[in-house]
Amino acid sequence: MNAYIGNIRTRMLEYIDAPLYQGFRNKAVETISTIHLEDIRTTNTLGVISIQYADDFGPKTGGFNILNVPDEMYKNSDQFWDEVNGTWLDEAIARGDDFILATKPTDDVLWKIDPISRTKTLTGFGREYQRMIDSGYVYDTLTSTMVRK
Amino acid sequence: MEDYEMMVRECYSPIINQYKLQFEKLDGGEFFLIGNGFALYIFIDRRDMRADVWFVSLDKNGTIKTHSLMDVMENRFDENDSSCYGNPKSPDEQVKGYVRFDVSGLLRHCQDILSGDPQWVNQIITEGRYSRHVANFLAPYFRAQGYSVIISDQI
Repeated sequence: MNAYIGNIRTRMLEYIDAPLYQGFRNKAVETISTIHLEDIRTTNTLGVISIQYADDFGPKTGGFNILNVPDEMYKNSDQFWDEVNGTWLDEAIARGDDFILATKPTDDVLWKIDPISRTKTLTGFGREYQRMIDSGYVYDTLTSTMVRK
Repeated sequence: MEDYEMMVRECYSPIINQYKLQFEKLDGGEFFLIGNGFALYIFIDRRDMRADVWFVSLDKNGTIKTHSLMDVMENRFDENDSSCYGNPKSPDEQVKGYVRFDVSGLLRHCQDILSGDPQWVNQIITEGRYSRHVANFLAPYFRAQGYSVIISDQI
Protein backbone atom coordinates (compact mmCIF):
# COMPACT_ATOMS: atom_id res chain seq x y z
CA MET A 1 0.00 0.00 0.00
CA ASN A 2 2.69 2.49 0.98
CA ALA A 3 4.63 1.70 -2.16
CA TYR A 4 1.52 2.25 -4.26
CA ILE A 5 0.81 5.61 -2.64
CA GLY A 6 4.45 6.61 -3.01
CA ASN A 7 4.34 5.75 -6.67
CA ILE A 8 1.25 7.88 -7.19
CA ARG A 9 2.83 10.80 -5.38
CA THR A 10 5.93 10.52 -7.51
CA ARG A 11 3.91 10.42 -10.71
CA MET A 12 1.83 13.41 -9.71
CA LEU A 13 4.86 15.48 -8.91
CA GLU A 14 6.34 14.65 -12.28
CA TYR A 15 3.33 15.99 -14.14
CA ILE A 16 2.29 18.80 -11.93
CA ASP A 17 1.00 21.99 -13.45
CA ALA A 18 2.64 24.70 -11.41
CA PRO A 19 0.05 27.49 -11.32
CA LEU A 20 -2.79 25.18 -10.44
CA TYR A 21 -0.68 23.20 -8.05
CA GLN A 22 0.18 26.25 -6.04
CA GLY A 23 -3.47 27.21 -5.86
CA PHE A 24 -4.51 23.76 -4.79
CA ARG A 25 -1.91 23.54 -2.09
CA ASN A 26 -2.88 26.85 -0.53
CA LYS A 27 -6.57 26.28 -0.74
CA ALA A 28 -6.66 22.63 0.12
CA VAL A 29 -4.58 22.73 3.23
CA GLU A 30 -6.53 25.58 4.68
CA THR A 31 -10.16 25.21 3.80
CA ILE A 32 -11.15 22.44 1.50
CA SER A 33 -12.68 19.30 2.87
CA THR A 34 -12.83 17.35 -0.33
CA ILE A 35 -10.47 16.97 -3.19
CA HIS A 36 -11.31 14.94 -6.20
CA LEU A 37 -8.23 13.63 -7.85
CA GLU A 38 -9.39 13.58 -11.44
CA ASP A 39 -6.42 12.39 -13.25
CA ILE A 40 -2.87 11.95 -12.13
CA ARG A 41 -1.80 11.57 -15.73
CA THR A 42 -2.58 14.88 -17.31
CA THR A 43 -1.52 18.43 -16.99
CA ASN A 44 -3.21 19.74 -13.90
CA THR A 45 -2.60 17.88 -10.73
CA LEU A 46 -2.67 18.78 -7.11
CA GLY A 47 -0.50 18.13 -4.12
CA VAL A 48 -2.16 15.27 -2.34
CA ILE A 49 -1.23 14.42 1.21
CA SER A 50 -3.45 11.42 1.79
CA ILE A 51 -5.24 8.83 -0.28
CA GLN A 52 -8.19 6.70 0.68
CA TYR A 53 -9.58 3.64 -0.98
CA ALA A 54 -13.12 2.83 -1.91
CA ASP A 55 -14.19 1.69 1.54
CA ASP A 56 -13.23 5.01 3.12
CA PHE A 57 -15.10 7.72 1.27
CA GLY A 58 -16.78 9.40 4.21
CA PRO A 59 -16.45 13.02 5.27
CA LYS A 60 -12.96 14.27 6.06
CA THR A 61 -13.29 17.40 8.10
CA GLY A 62 -10.37 19.61 7.30
CA GLY A 63 -8.87 16.93 5.10
CA PHE A 64 -9.15 15.32 1.71
CA ASN A 65 -11.49 12.77 0.26
CA ILE A 66 -10.13 11.38 -2.97
CA LEU A 67 -11.75 8.88 -5.25
CA ASN A 68 -8.92 6.53 -6.03
CA VAL A 69 -9.76 2.89 -6.51
CA PRO A 70 -7.91 -0.14 -7.84
CA ASP A 71 -8.21 -0.76 -11.59
CA GLU A 72 -10.01 -4.02 -10.86
CA MET A 73 -13.11 -2.11 -9.82
CA TYR A 74 -13.57 -0.90 -13.37
CA LYS A 75 -15.55 -3.14 -15.71
CA ASN A 76 -17.11 -0.55 -17.98
CA SER A 77 -17.91 3.15 -17.76
CA ASP A 78 -21.59 2.75 -16.87
CA GLN A 79 -20.89 0.14 -14.20
CA PHE A 80 -18.11 2.24 -12.70
CA TRP A 81 -20.31 5.31 -12.65
CA ASP A 82 -23.25 3.49 -11.07
CA GLU A 83 -21.30 1.51 -8.49
CA VAL A 84 -18.40 3.75 -7.57
CA ASN A 85 -18.01 7.17 -9.08
CA GLY A 86 -21.60 8.40 -9.09
CA THR A 87 -22.20 7.14 -5.57
CA TRP A 88 -19.08 8.83 -4.27
CA LEU A 89 -20.06 12.07 -5.93
CA ASP A 90 -23.68 12.02 -4.76
CA GLU A 91 -22.61 11.46 -1.17
CA ALA A 92 -20.17 14.33 -1.34
CA ILE A 93 -22.78 16.60 -2.92
CA ALA A 94 -25.26 15.64 -0.19
CA ARG A 95 -22.69 16.68 2.42
CA GLY A 96 -22.26 20.00 0.65
CA ASP A 97 -18.56 19.44 0.02
CA ASP A 98 -16.60 21.68 -2.27
CA PHE A 99 -14.66 19.99 -5.05
CA ILE A 100 -11.23 20.97 -6.17
CA LEU A 101 -10.78 19.92 -9.75
CA ALA A 102 -7.36 18.61 -10.63
CA THR A 103 -8.18 19.14 -14.28
CA LYS A 104 -9.63 22.29 -15.75
CA PRO A 105 -13.14 21.54 -17.06
CA THR A 106 -12.48 22.33 -20.69
CA ASP A 107 -14.27 20.73 -23.61
CA ASP A 108 -11.32 18.56 -24.56
CA VAL A 109 -11.47 16.69 -21.25
CA LEU A 110 -15.22 16.83 -20.65
CA TRP A 111 -16.05 15.22 -23.97
CA LYS A 112 -14.78 12.34 -26.04
CA ILE A 113 -15.71 10.81 -29.36
CA ASP A 114 -17.65 7.59 -29.04
CA PRO A 115 -16.01 5.21 -31.51
CA ILE A 116 -19.30 3.62 -32.53
CA SER A 117 -21.59 6.62 -32.96
CA ARG A 118 -18.70 9.00 -33.79
CA THR A 119 -20.43 11.71 -31.79
CA LYS A 120 -19.32 13.60 -28.72
CA THR A 121 -20.19 11.96 -25.42
CA LEU A 122 -19.28 12.91 -21.89
CA THR A 123 -16.14 11.46 -20.36
CA GLY A 124 -16.22 10.24 -16.77
CA PHE A 125 -14.98 13.64 -15.72
CA GLY A 126 -17.64 15.24 -17.91
CA ARG A 127 -20.34 13.23 -16.20
CA GLU A 128 -19.12 14.39 -12.82
CA TYR A 129 -18.93 17.98 -13.92
CA GLN A 130 -22.43 17.83 -15.35
CA ARG A 131 -23.76 16.23 -12.15
CA MET A 132 -22.25 19.00 -10.08
CA ILE A 133 -23.64 21.69 -12.38
CA ASP A 134 -27.06 20.04 -12.21
CA SER A 135 -26.77 20.01 -8.42
CA GLY A 136 -26.25 23.73 -8.20
CA TYR A 137 -22.47 24.01 -8.28
CA VAL A 138 -20.48 26.53 -10.27
CA TYR A 139 -16.84 26.53 -11.27
CA ASP A 140 -14.60 29.08 -9.59
CA THR A 141 -11.77 29.66 -12.03
CA LEU A 142 -9.53 31.34 -9.47
CA THR A 143 -9.44 28.36 -7.14
CA SER A 144 -10.34 25.67 -9.68
CA THR A 145 -13.05 24.66 -7.27
CA MET A 146 -16.66 23.64 -7.74
CA VAL A 147 -18.68 25.51 -5.14
CA ARG A 148 -22.38 25.81 -4.43
CA LYS A 149 -24.06 28.91 -5.83
CA MET B 1 -0.08 -0.02 -13.83
CA GLU B 2 -0.43 -1.52 -17.25
CA ASP B 3 2.16 -0.45 -19.80
CA TYR B 4 0.52 0.09 -23.17
CA GLU B 5 3.69 0.81 -25.12
CA MET B 6 3.81 -2.37 -27.16
CA MET B 7 0.15 -2.19 -28.12
CA VAL B 8 0.29 1.49 -29.04
CA ARG B 9 3.54 1.13 -30.95
CA GLU B 10 2.21 -1.85 -32.88
CA CYS B 11 -1.15 -0.29 -33.73
CA TYR B 12 0.42 3.00 -34.78
CA SER B 13 3.22 1.38 -36.79
CA PRO B 14 1.51 2.02 -40.17
CA ILE B 15 1.40 5.73 -39.36
CA ILE B 16 4.91 5.76 -37.91
CA ASN B 17 6.32 4.08 -40.99
CA GLN B 18 4.35 5.94 -43.64
CA TYR B 19 4.89 9.40 -42.19
CA LYS B 20 8.37 8.81 -40.74
CA LEU B 21 7.38 9.84 -37.25
CA GLN B 22 9.54 9.23 -34.20
CA PHE B 23 7.90 7.15 -31.47
CA GLU B 24 8.74 8.28 -27.95
CA LYS B 25 7.38 7.06 -24.65
CA LEU B 26 6.72 9.37 -21.73
CA ASP B 27 5.39 6.58 -19.53
CA GLY B 28 3.22 3.50 -19.82
CA GLY B 29 0.19 5.54 -20.81
CA GLU B 30 1.54 8.53 -22.71
CA PHE B 31 3.31 8.45 -26.04
CA PHE B 32 4.35 10.83 -28.78
CA LEU B 33 4.78 10.50 -32.50
CA ILE B 34 7.13 13.32 -33.31
CA GLY B 35 7.28 14.96 -36.71
CA ASN B 36 9.03 18.09 -37.91
CA GLY B 37 7.74 20.85 -35.63
CA PHE B 38 4.63 18.99 -34.63
CA ALA B 39 3.63 15.80 -32.84
CA LEU B 40 0.78 13.49 -32.08
CA TYR B 41 0.11 12.97 -28.38
CA ILE B 42 -1.39 9.55 -27.68
CA PHE B 43 -2.59 8.87 -24.18
CA ILE B 44 -4.50 6.27 -22.26
CA ASP B 45 -7.30 7.60 -20.09
CA ARG B 46 -7.14 4.95 -17.38
CA ARG B 47 -10.20 6.28 -15.69
CA ASP B 48 -12.45 5.75 -18.70
CA MET B 49 -10.27 2.95 -20.08
CA ARG B 50 -9.97 4.56 -23.46
CA ALA B 51 -7.29 6.02 -25.66
CA ASP B 52 -7.20 9.35 -27.39
CA VAL B 53 -4.88 11.24 -29.70
CA TRP B 54 -4.29 14.98 -29.76
CA PHE B 55 -2.28 17.13 -32.13
CA VAL B 56 0.64 19.08 -30.69
CA SER B 57 1.61 22.30 -32.42
CA LEU B 58 4.62 24.57 -32.12
CA ASP B 59 3.88 28.16 -33.08
CA LYS B 60 6.29 30.74 -34.42
CA ASN B 61 6.79 32.14 -30.92
CA GLY B 62 7.98 28.77 -29.69
CA THR B 63 4.87 27.87 -27.71
CA ILE B 64 3.78 24.24 -27.64
CA LYS B 65 0.04 23.62 -27.48
CA THR B 66 -2.16 20.55 -27.48
CA HIS B 67 -5.25 20.35 -29.68
CA SER B 68 -8.06 17.87 -29.30
CA LEU B 69 -8.99 16.12 -32.54
CA MET B 70 -12.61 15.59 -31.51
CA ASP B 71 -14.04 17.78 -34.24
CA VAL B 72 -11.84 16.09 -36.82
CA MET B 73 -13.00 12.66 -35.70
CA GLU B 74 -16.62 13.69 -35.66
CA ASN B 75 -16.48 15.25 -39.12
CA ARG B 76 -14.13 12.94 -40.99
CA PHE B 77 -14.19 9.47 -39.47
CA ASP B 78 -16.72 7.01 -40.86
CA GLU B 79 -18.31 3.63 -40.22
CA ASN B 80 -15.29 1.78 -41.52
CA ASP B 81 -13.24 3.36 -38.76
CA SER B 82 -15.91 2.49 -36.21
CA SER B 83 -15.75 -1.13 -37.29
CA CYS B 84 -12.11 -1.19 -36.19
CA TYR B 85 -13.25 -0.62 -32.62
CA GLY B 86 -14.54 -4.18 -32.63
CA ASN B 87 -16.47 -5.68 -29.74
CA PRO B 88 -14.18 -5.39 -26.73
CA LYS B 89 -14.73 -7.80 -23.86
CA SER B 90 -12.38 -6.31 -21.31
CA PRO B 91 -11.11 -2.85 -20.32
CA ASP B 92 -7.77 -3.46 -22.03
CA GLU B 93 -9.51 -4.61 -25.21
CA GLN B 94 -11.57 -1.45 -25.00
CA VAL B 95 -8.44 0.67 -24.86
CA LYS B 96 -7.07 -1.16 -27.88
CA GLY B 97 -10.37 -0.65 -29.70
CA TYR B 98 -10.08 3.09 -29.23
CA VAL B 99 -6.51 3.00 -30.53
CA ARG B 100 -7.53 1.02 -33.62
CA PHE B 101 -10.39 3.46 -34.26
CA ASP B 102 -8.01 6.41 -34.02
CA VAL B 103 -5.38 4.83 -36.25
CA SER B 104 -7.89 3.83 -38.90
CA GLY B 105 -9.47 7.26 -39.04
CA LEU B 106 -6.19 9.11 -39.08
CA LEU B 107 -4.76 6.95 -41.81
CA ARG B 108 -7.83 7.09 -44.01
CA HIS B 109 -8.87 10.71 -43.58
CA CYS B 110 -6.09 12.79 -42.07
CA GLN B 111 -3.07 12.96 -44.35
CA ASP B 112 -2.87 16.70 -43.69
CA ILE B 113 -2.65 16.20 -39.94
CA LEU B 114 -0.21 13.32 -40.06
CA SER B 115 2.09 15.27 -42.33
CA GLY B 116 1.84 18.46 -40.27
CA ASP B 117 0.47 20.31 -43.30
CA PRO B 118 1.05 24.04 -42.58
CA GLN B 119 -2.32 24.92 -44.05
CA TRP B 120 -4.07 22.69 -41.54
CA VAL B 121 -1.84 23.76 -38.68
CA ASN B 122 -2.60 27.42 -39.42
CA GLN B 123 -6.28 26.72 -38.94
CA ILE B 124 -5.80 25.53 -35.37
CA ILE B 125 -2.68 27.32 -34.23
CA THR B 126 -4.49 30.07 -32.33
CA GLU B 127 -6.46 27.54 -30.31
CA GLY B 128 -5.35 24.72 -28.10
CA ARG B 129 -3.89 24.88 -24.66
CA TYR B 130 -0.54 24.81 -22.98
CA SER B 131 0.43 21.68 -21.11
CA ARG B 132 3.58 21.98 -19.12
CA HIS B 133 4.48 18.33 -18.99
CA VAL B 134 3.89 17.90 -22.72
CA ALA B 135 5.99 20.99 -23.44
CA ASN B 136 8.73 19.82 -21.10
CA PHE B 137 8.88 16.46 -22.79
CA LEU B 138 8.82 17.67 -26.39
CA ALA B 139 11.03 20.74 -26.04
CA PRO B 140 14.35 18.89 -26.45
CA TYR B 141 13.12 17.11 -29.58
CA PHE B 142 11.90 20.31 -31.23
CA ARG B 143 15.07 22.15 -30.23
CA ALA B 144 17.12 19.37 -31.79
CA GLN B 145 15.19 20.05 -34.99
CA GLY B 146 16.33 23.66 -34.85
CA TYR B 147 13.21 25.27 -33.39
CA SER B 148 13.04 27.74 -30.56
CA VAL B 149 10.82 26.53 -27.73
CA ILE B 150 9.49 28.47 -24.77
CA ILE B 151 8.77 26.70 -21.52
CA SER B 152 6.66 28.78 -19.19
CA ASP B 153 4.79 28.25 -15.94
CA GLN B 154 2.73 31.32 -16.54
CA ILE B 155 1.00 30.53 -19.82
